[in-house]
Amino acid sequence: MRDSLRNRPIKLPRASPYRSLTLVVALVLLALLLVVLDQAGMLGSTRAQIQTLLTPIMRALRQVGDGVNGVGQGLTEVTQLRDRVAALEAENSQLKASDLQIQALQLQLARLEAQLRIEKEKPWKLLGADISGRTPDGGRRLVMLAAGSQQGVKPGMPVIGREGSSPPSLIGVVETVGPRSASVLLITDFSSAVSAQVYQKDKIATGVVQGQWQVGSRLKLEGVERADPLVSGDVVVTAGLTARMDTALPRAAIPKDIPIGIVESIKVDGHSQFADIRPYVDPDRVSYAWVLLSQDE
Amino acid sequence: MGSTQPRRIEERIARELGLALALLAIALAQAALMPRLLGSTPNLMLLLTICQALIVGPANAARWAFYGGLALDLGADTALGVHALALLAAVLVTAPILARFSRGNWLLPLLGAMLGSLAYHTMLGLLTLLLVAPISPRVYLQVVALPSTILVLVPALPLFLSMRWLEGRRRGEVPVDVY
Repeated sequence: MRDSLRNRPIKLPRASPYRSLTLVVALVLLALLLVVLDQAGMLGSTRAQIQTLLTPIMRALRQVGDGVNGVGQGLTEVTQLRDRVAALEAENSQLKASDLQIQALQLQLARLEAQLRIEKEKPWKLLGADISGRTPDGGRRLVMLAAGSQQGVKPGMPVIGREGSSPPSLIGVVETVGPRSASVLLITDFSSAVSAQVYQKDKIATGVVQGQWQVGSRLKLEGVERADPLVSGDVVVTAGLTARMDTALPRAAIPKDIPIGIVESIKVDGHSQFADIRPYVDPDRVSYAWVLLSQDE
Repeated sequence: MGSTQPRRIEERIARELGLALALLAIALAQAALMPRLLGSTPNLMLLLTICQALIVGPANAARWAFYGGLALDLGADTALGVHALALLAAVLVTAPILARFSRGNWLLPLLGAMLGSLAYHTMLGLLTLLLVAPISPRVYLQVVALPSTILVLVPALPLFLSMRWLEGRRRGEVPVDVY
């Protein structure tokens, strides 16, 4: 092929294999460097600023995605699908009766009412927020909350959810906080461990509730002494051990008596017992949650 | 004469920025919009990166993996670079192994998605093990990696065909399929 104007051969661009390899190696090294810097906490402020910009977009996308999610979950469980259809039909009739603005106000009102009910029943001061995003793969169970340090959210604060007629229950703990967003580690994640207790007739059995999603179930109550026999149906609540110690630890804010779930099955091993727990609220289905800011003593 | 080089650099920067923003939009959509099936969302970013590696080549796909991975980390609040490394692992495993297959072969995207997803989850599991908490590899494979791989296989072929068609149009090629 020749350049007709200058009458000289045209050199077509050819990708050098060494250049390609250099680029790939450079990107791998750069990614590794980012992991190291982020683990060392050196990217925290930059990251928080970017996430502050992204949170409103994710929040809007999340609202659209909730409808899509409902269909996806319904496909996996027939009963859920039926419930969802019934709920959607009811919602549809409401939609016909009122316009979008009124709906939005109604939703806000319902959330505030739910919050007021909880605050009336429990000595808690709550902050409601939308769940703006979730981990994109099954590796970890984290959600992004559309509220951050500007609203008073701090690492270690418990996050409460409510589903249907369930009591307000623990769904996770705030892990990291940006100005207008916070990352919540769900209690079902395998790295989540929360001190818990079960009220029995004349005593209290204590143990640790461990996340189990990555190992095939949801929650497990561990380390309960065999002398305090658990029964199927026992109610598991937080023990609030770290909060009681009043340490300056970042995760010392979970008070006692926040409902977690119900004992489903019990296994005995040596001197201790293990129990599978059915959480009151499935954290994966929650689209609005409350951060427990403080508790009146 | 002198203005050619700066213009090329500016164009290149604009192109890279455009690519990064497009992948950020996809990552946000994946984190907030995609439905949850079998406990996971279909990993669109992984599939796009693998298809790019199979169609255009590993160097180009590595850029997608890097930008897309960082975008996923921002959307999911995981440590920056974790998803980029996992996606780069998928590209580095898939592209050399399947380099001898014709781009017209319909098996290519399915094999690519399977290999890429397994490499991605192996790297992600390893990084989780190192940075977060110990996990059982067998259970991680059963509960996280395999369901995600199955989910990725479903849209692999249509997405690959669409991307191949677009790339073919860009280059002015006529597609030939091997059955």
